[in-house]
Amino acid sequence: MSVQMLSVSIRPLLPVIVLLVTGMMVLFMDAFGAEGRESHYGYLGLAGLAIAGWLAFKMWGTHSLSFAHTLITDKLSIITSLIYFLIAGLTILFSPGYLRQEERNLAEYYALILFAVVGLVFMTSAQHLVLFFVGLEVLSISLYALAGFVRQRDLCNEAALKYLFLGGFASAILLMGMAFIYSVTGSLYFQDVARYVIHSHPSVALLLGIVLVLVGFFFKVSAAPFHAWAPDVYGGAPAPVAGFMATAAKVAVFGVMLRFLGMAVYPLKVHWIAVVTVVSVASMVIGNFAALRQDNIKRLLAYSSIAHAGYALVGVAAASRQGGAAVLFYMLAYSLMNLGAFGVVSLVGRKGERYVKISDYAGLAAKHPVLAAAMAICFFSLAGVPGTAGFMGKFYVFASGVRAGQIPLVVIAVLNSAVAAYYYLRVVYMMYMEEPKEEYVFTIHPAAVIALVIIVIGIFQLGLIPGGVLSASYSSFAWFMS
Amino acid sequence: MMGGVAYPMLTVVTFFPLIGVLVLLFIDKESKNLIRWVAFITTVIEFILSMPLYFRFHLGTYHYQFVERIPWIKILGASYHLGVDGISLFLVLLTTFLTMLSILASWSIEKHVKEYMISFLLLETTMIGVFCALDMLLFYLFWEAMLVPMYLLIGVWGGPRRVYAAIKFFLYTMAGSVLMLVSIIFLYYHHYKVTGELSFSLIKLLATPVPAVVAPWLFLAFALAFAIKVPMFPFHTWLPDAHVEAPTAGSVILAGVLLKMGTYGFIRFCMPFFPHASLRFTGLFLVLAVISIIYGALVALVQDDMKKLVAYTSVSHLGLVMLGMFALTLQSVTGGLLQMVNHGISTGALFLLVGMAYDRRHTRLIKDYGGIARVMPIYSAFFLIATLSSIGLPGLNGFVGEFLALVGTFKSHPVFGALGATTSVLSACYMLWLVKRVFYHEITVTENLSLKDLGFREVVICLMFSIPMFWIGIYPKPVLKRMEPSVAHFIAQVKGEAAMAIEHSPQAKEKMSLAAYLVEERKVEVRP
Repeated sequence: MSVQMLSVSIRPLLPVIVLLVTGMMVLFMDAFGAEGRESHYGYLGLAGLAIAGWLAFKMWGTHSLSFAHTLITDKLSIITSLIYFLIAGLTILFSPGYLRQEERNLAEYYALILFAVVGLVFMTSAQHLVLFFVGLEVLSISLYALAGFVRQRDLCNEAALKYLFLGGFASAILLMGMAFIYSVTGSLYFQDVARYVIHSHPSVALLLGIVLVLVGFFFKVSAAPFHAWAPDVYGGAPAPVAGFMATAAKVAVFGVMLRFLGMAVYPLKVHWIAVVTVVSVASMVIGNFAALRQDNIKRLLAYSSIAHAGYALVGVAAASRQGGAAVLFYMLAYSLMNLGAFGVVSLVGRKGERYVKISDYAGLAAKHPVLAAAMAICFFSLAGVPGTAGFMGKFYVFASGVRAGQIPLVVIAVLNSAVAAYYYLRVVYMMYMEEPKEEYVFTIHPAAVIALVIIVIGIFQLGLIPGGVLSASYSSFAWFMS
Repeated sequence: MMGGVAYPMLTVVTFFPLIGVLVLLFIDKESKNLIRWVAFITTVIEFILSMPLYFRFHLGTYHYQFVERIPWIKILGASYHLGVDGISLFLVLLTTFLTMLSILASWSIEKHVKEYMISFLLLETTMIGVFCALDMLLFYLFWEAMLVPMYLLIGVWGGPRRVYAAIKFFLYTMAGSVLMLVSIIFLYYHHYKVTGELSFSLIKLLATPVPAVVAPWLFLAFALAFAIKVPMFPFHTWLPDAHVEAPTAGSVILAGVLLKMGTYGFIRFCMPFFPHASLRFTGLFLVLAVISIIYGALVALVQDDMKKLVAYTSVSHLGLVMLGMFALTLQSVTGGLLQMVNHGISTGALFLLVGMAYDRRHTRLIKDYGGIARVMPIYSAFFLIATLSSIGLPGLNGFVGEFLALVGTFKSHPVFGALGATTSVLSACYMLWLVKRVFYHEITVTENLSLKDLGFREVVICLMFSIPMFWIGIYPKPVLKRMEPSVAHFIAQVKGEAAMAIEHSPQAKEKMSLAAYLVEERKVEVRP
């Protein structure tokens, strides 16, 4: 009996256990193993991610609640887990060359990424706000360390410190909101909150709690007006880490946001749709217009990611199953193109990331045509040119908005995406239409090439034949209340 | 519909240039001549592949032909759906024809030849896709994807202000099309609400009329996207920049094909989707069309740069096309449609000829020429033919289209017909004056004394252009016969459904404001 109980409850955790064991192995092997093998631990991490991914994939279609109903295994948790594994895998592929060039080739980097993924998985598997919070902190602490990983660089330390302070601040607000919700409903289980919300009139304390929790979420997805940290942190953190932060954390928080809004407090949607709509418009406008004036490509990508959070929030404001699916699909598309862009930045930046201005990309296409083409594909995708993942993602999000009758919001969003095309094109123009000012001497690690190939294939696959992924994301939101 | 099943003709025509791209990818970028030949041969084969569309086209039916349809994104109801009718047939042929000659005219490109040819072939695929797509999502995909190769063509191989022109071109078009995307999505969900079926199929969406209260807004969103592309006054400002900065072959394609996408959009999507709204805005568009005709001509008159002059004639000529289409008679629409093809041929030829002069003298200013008929007789002869074709001399192609469009417009809107007819006078003014200043009188600039006449390759290009000019001018019947059923169907669609829409729209809903409608829509949706 007890054995059976155990097997029932452990199974959903298998992917996470694999990751933890891999992470520990990396740390121990580094401590007791020979010198100079650090890059190999990255490949060990990749193997762990692959096994975890396979285990998670095998659970597709199953549904279970375990650990006193705090942990849910459903299609959403599995699909998001797979996305995290993909993001982490791509990040690891970009890292060996980068770390060697920065002379910070340490094994704990890979362990930290694996631990961050563990936190991510718990976040979107949580049916209880405290479990979500624990996952969030596991992620955040790993990210604080990763953001400052190249500690000899001042900007890096600044990024880590800012992220620590503002992340802590956001966590505090989140906790405050959770406390309010608990004080009213007496529980932090999503189902219990939902039961309470359906049967009773919303009190001010409850609404305040929901708003505070949302503010915490908005902080984490860098939505305006809670975005101020993002340019400094993404700009200062090592480029591969910035890519990881800008993508994985957002996927997770959007997943939780949709669970929380679509499951726990769905009946109060009149209130939260208004909040989400305002934040969405603010993020798009502030992100895009600020990005127009950036000279540093990492800061440009940071502002662009603020704008992209705004687009994704259009899908949240749709408050529908389709909207949820659209956000999920969008997040996958966004992750691919952003990882690709940050990956190229990590290559072109060279030692100490000295070449991160947009003008440092002048004439790149003449010297590295394939690399420039990959970057251009990522940027056209970010701009939402049809045929790429970015277009399909935007299309599906906007479609869900139109269907939900949010036409003014969608019109603002499409006009914003036209504005955004300008600054994305600027980078393409630099690479293709300016004369090269230098020789662009840098080594491209083969692992980074593999990552870029995967990303480019992914961008076109999601842009041209998205059917399978769209169906999978749609089926992940079968529980959505609408 | 012969052969549609066994041999996917339109797919082959649309995607064949990509095979050329694949081959080019594996050629060393230093072997420039090989690259040019591979690209040229690809487009020649492409042109030959597109010829059966003309010969096997069934006369006397407005139905789409060579139709191919397979599911594409099942969950969205989008399908890979291609087909041509009398409206798009000649635009496809025009595209393959002009691309072939443009590649031939690009022999003098020395910078990044490989990338240039790849962009050109990608552009060809997207252009043909735009004209063949019968699925709205697929159409939008080609429509926007086309911007990328054109942006690169202008921005990398263009003139001194190329970057500004390229970005302006891209942003203008994109800003126009995003609102169309919202409209497409709206039509899509409206169709779903009415029929319960998710589909982007043009035919199915056309069968579901939109509520009268939103139709004008959707119409305007579509019209903005297409009016920018045409370009109609006052959305034409991107055109002179793009044309002047683009490389010669880019200008040919821009004028020859890309502008037609705007007018094609009106006739294929905008007007049939919203017949009631089109009739309501007819006055506005006729006025804008007449302004485009006269304003474009007057601005062309005062240009001192030959390329800019030809660019502004496009504004004027496309104004005539719009006039014909909105006049909504069988002759006027057919004339407008034929004028689209004619303009592609004659303006394409003019841009090429200007480019040939530029290759020799590296200037396009009219005052740097004069009297060159004496040193370049063959060139002058071809330039004169293109000029006469452009201004509509009887016996050449321009006459047929212009005449039909004006006669048709007179029938329904005599005043606008009269105003539109000024185009014949004005175009004669600016073009013949240009010819006079460039080709006749004494040679005043000494450099012009040593100009070389056209070489073999250039003569071939000019001859190729002359063939359709004379053919359509002397015997337009085979062309018109293919167009007419589709045009008649188009007019019936717009006029018939507009009449129905007026009958069936209840007064209450008619008077409702857009805001009230949207609120109502949301209430329906919000219900769990």
